[in-house]
Amino acid sequence: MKKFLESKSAVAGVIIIGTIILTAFFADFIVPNDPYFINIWDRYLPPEGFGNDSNYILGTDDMGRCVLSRIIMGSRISLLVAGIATSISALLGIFFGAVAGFKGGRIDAILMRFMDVILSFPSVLLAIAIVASLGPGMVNAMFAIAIVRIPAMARITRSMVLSVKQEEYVLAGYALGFSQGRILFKHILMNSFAPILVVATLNMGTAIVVEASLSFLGLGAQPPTVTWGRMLAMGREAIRRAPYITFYPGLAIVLSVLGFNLLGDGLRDIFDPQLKKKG
Amino acid sequence: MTKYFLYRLLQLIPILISISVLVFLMIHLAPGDPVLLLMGDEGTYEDYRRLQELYGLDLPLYQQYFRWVGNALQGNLGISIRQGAPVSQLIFERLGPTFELAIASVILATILGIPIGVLAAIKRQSFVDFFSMIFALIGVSMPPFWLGLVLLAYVSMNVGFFPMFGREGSIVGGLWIFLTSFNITPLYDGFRYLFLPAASLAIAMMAIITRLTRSSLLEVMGKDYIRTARSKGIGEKVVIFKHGLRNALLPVVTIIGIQFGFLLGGAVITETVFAWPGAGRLVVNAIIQRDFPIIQGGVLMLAIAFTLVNLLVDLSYALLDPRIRYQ
Amino acid sequence: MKKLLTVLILLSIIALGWSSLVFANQDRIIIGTAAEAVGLDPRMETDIYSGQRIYVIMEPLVIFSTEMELAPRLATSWEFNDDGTKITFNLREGVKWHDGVPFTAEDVKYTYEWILNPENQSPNRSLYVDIIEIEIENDHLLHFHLEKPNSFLLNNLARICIVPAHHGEEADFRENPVGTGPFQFVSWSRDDRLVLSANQDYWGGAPNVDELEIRPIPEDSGRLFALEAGEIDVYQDQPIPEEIARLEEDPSINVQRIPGTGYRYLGFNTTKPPFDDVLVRRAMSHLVPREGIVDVLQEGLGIVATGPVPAGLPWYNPDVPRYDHDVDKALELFTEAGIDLDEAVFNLYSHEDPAFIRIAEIIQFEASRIGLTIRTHVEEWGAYWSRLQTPDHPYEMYLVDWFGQVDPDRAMYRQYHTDGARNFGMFSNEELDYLLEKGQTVPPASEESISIYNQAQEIVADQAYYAFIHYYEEVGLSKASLNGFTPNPFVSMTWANAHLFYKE
Repeated sequence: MKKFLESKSAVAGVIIIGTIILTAFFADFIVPNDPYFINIWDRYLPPEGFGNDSNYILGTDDMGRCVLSRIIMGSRISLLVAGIATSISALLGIFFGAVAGFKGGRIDAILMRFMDVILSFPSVLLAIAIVASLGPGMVNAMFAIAIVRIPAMARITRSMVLSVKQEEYVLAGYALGFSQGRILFKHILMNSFAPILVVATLNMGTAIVVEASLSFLGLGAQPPTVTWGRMLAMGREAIRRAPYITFYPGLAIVLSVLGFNLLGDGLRDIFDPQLKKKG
Repeated sequence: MTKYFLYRLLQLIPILISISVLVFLMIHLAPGDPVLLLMGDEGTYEDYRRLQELYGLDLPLYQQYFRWVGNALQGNLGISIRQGAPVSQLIFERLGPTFELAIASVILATILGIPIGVLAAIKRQSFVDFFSMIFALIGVSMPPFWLGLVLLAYVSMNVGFFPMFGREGSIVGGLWIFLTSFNITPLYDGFRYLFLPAASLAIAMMAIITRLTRSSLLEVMGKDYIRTARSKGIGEKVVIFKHGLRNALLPVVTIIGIQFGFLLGGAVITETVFAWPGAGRLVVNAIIQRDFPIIQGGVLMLAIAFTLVNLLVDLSYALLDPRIRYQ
Repeated sequence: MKKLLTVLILLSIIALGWSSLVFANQDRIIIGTAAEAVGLDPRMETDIYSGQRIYVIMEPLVIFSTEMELAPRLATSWEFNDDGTKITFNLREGVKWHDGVPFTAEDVKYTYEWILNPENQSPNRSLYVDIIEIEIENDHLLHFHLEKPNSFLLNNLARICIVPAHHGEEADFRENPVGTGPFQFVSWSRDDRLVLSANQDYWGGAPNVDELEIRPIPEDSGRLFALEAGEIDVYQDQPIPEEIARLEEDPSINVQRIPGTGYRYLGFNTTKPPFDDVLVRRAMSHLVPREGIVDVLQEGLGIVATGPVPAGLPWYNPDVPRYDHDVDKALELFTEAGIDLDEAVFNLYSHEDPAFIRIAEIIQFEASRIGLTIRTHVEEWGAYWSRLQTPDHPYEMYLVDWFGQVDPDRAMYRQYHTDGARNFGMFSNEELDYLLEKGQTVPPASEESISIYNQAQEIVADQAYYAFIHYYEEVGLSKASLNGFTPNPFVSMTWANAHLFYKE
C-alpha cells in the first residue's frame, strides 16, 4: 500500500478511474437533465458560454438531448462494455496461456495454434463477422471485443508462466508434493500477475475505442442506450456544424483511457522491483 | 534456418484449415442470404430458387464446403456472387493499395515511435516523458473514423497540400517513373494521397510503439549485463544504443509485426473515410452483401499474409539478437 | 533544428506551387458518389449506383425527363395498338456503338430476349414477363407483342439500357461494357475510379469535356469535404441535412432541389397481432412526428408523405385520410383497440443508417410519452434486408425506403397486392387487388387511370397499412463552375445527359 501511494501515476489513475466509476454508479442522481429526453426543436444548442443561456452546460445533440447528461449516462455502458469485455478476454486468455505454458508439449501447440487462428483473422473483420452472425447489440459487441483480445492475453500469460516455471520456489512446491493446480494458481500465476494486469488495464482503454468503431458500423449498442462511442458515431455528420457534440464524449474517452493507462503504468512500477531501485 | 522456415510454413496448414472452416460456418450460419440481397427490387420466388441452385447454395453445408476447398486447392477461389468477377482478381487488385498503406503507416509509426520512446525512457519522469505519454494516450483513444474526419476537417481543409480522398497511383510505380523519366509528379502525388490515411493509422500504432519501447528499454537497462557494461566505463550513449536498445527492440518488433497484420484487413474504417481502395473495404462490403466467395477467399488471403509477415518478424529476431538461432 | 526548418519551408513552397496546378483541369469532370457499382451490365444490375454509371455509357429506348415524362432516346417514337397488346418502336437512325458498328433493332431484340431467357439468371426478368414476342420489321422498326395490356411497360423499358448483340456474350462485358451513350468505357478499378472518355460520334452531339471520372467516396462528410475543396465537381447521393443551409448560402456551390421518386415509411406486419387491427396501425401512425422529422431532423429536405405515390406524379392523391402527429389521438385509438399500454411491448426494426436510427429513436420517444414501450432493434443491413424479404418475416414494425417509384403501378402493386413480390406487410385486400390489376390495363394518362389509383391510395391510407413518413427530395450538389448538370427524380438517370456538362 505504501508503495502504491508512492507511485504518482497509480494514484492519479485511481483518482480518474474512481471518479468515472462513481459517476457511472450515481449517474441517475447527478444527470442535470433527462439524457433520453428528445426535443428536436432545441437541437444543436451550443454549450454554455457560446451564446447559449439555456440550462444545457455542454449543449444539445442532434436530437436536442443534453450532451452532459448523455456523457454521464454513457459512462455506464462504456465502462461496463470495457470492463466485461476485458474481464472475459483476461479470464480466457489467462486460462489458455497458463495451461499452455504449464503443460507444454502437445497441449501447448494446439492451444497456441488456436490463438494464432484468432489472431490471423483481422480483428475488425472478426468483430464484424461475430456481430453479423449473432446480431448487433451490446452483449454481442462485448463478446466480439473480448474474443479479439484473447490471443494477446494468452501469449503474455504463457510467456510469463514459462519464465516463472523454472524458479526455485516453484520447484520447491513440487518437492513439497503440492497439486499441479495449486502450484499453477498459487505460485506461478500469482508471480506473473503484474504484466498481465498492465495489459488488462491497457485493454480497458482499447475496448472503449473498439466499441466506438462498432457503433460507427452500426453494430454497437441498441438505441436508446447511450455510449460514448455511439455519441461520436451519430454526431460525426455534424462535425462542422456542431463539433462540440463529438468533442466532449471524445474527451471522456481520452480521460478514461488516460486513467487506465496511468493505473497500468503505476502498477508496473510497483510490481517491478528492479525499476523501483533505479527510481 | 531453411528447416525452421519450412517448419513454420507447414504450421500454416492447420491454421488455414481452421480459419476456412470457421469463416465458412460463421457466414453460413449468420442471418442473411446473398441471393435475397442480390435480387434488389425485382425477383420472384422462382428466381430465388434458380439463383440458389446456380451458386450451389441449396446443397448441404458440408458439400458446399468441400466443393469450395476442392476449387481453392486448384487455385480457384470462385466467382463473386454479386459482382460476377473472379474472387482472385478482386483480391489481387487490392493487394497493392493495402500493402502500401500498411507499410507506410508502419514506417511512419516506427520512425517516430521508437525515438520518442527511447527519449522518454532516458529522461524518465521528465517533461518529455510526460508529454509523450499524453500524446500516445490521445492517439490510442481516438476512434479511427473520428480521427480520420478530424484530419480531413482541420488539416486537409486548411492545407491544400493533402487531398480529401482516394489514391493516385502507387509509390513504387511513381518511383519507377521518376527513375526512368525524371518525372517526379506521380511519385509526389502518390505521397500526397498516401500521407493522411497512413498518418491516421500510424498515430494509434505509434502510441503503442512509444509506450512499449519506453517500458522495454527501462526493463533492459536494469539488467545485469547493462550494469556490467556501465561498470566497464563504456559511454552512456553506447550503452543505451548498442546494448540496451538492441535488446529492448525484440518485443517492439513483435508488436509491429502483429500491428502490420491487423492493418492488412483491419484498416477498413480508415479506408472508408479516406476512400482508399483497400482489402478491408472489399471484405466488409462482401460481409454486408453476404458475398460468400469473397469473404472466404479474402479472409484466407489476409490470414496467409498475416502469418507470413509474422514469420518474417520472427526471422528478424535473429538479426536483432545474435543469441537467437533457429533450427 | 535550423536545417529542419529550412527543409520544411522548402517543402511547403514546393507543395503550394504544385497543388495549385493539380485541380485546374477543364477537360475532366469528376463525380463523387456514395458507393461503387456492382457491375456495368444493365441486364444484371439492380442497384442505383450501378445504374447511374450505366446510363452514361449506354442508353435505353425511352428515358425519363427531369419532369418525369417519357422522352425519346434510342427510340424516336412509339405507339400502342388499340387493345394495348402491341407496342411499335421507331428507332433512331445513325446511332453507332462505341466500336463503330451501327445500332439496329437486332440489339434491342437481343437485349430483351436475353433478359427473358431464364437460363441467363437476370434479376430484372420479372419486369418484362408480359412480352411474348419481339418482331423486327426492319433495322429501325420493331414490335413488342404483349400477353396482356401492360400500361406501365414503357416505364419498365426505360429501366434497362440496350446492350450490343455483338458484344453481349463476352465474358467480361460486365466490367468492360460497350454502349451508345455520350461517354465510352476506358478503365475501371473497383472502389477507386471508373474512367470514361468522350464519345466524339455521339448522336446527340459530342460531349463538352474529354473525360468523366466517377469515384466512390463512401463517407458523406468526406465526400462533402472533397466537393468544397474542389476535388470533385459533383456530390452525388443524399446530402448531409446539417450542412444544407450553409451550402445554399455558399456561392461556390450550386444546390438544386427537386421532388424525388422515393419515400420512407414505418411498415407494419399485418399478420402479427395487434398490427392486424387497423386501430393500432392508425394509432402508431399518429405517433410519427412527420413535420419534426422533415423540418428539423432533415432540415427541410423532403416532403411530408401521405401515401405511396410520390407527390410529383399526376396520380398523387392529396385528399386521403391523414394521420397528423397527435399523441392524444394515438392514446385514444390504442384504448379503443383495447391495448394495455403499460403491458404492451412493440418491437421496431431498423438498419444501421444514422437517419433511420434517429427516426426509430424519435418514434420510440413519442411512444414513451403515452407510456407505450417500443424496443428498437438496429440490425446489420445484410441480415435486415434478407429477413424482410422472407415470407412470414418476424418484424412487427420496420423502417424502409423505396426509390424509383416512377408510376403508381411500380409504387403500389409489388407492395400492396396480395401476390406482390415485396409485400412486406402481408396485406391482402380484395378491393385493392382488383384496382391494382385494373390499373395495369387502362392507358396511363387517362382519367380512368388517375381515378383508379386515387381510390387505391385512399384504401391504403384508410387502412393505415404503412405509416408514411416523407417523400425524398433529390438534391444536386455541384461546383458553381459546372454547367449543364441537373438532378433527375429517377436517381439512376442523373448523369444520362453528361454530354451537356461543361466547366467554366
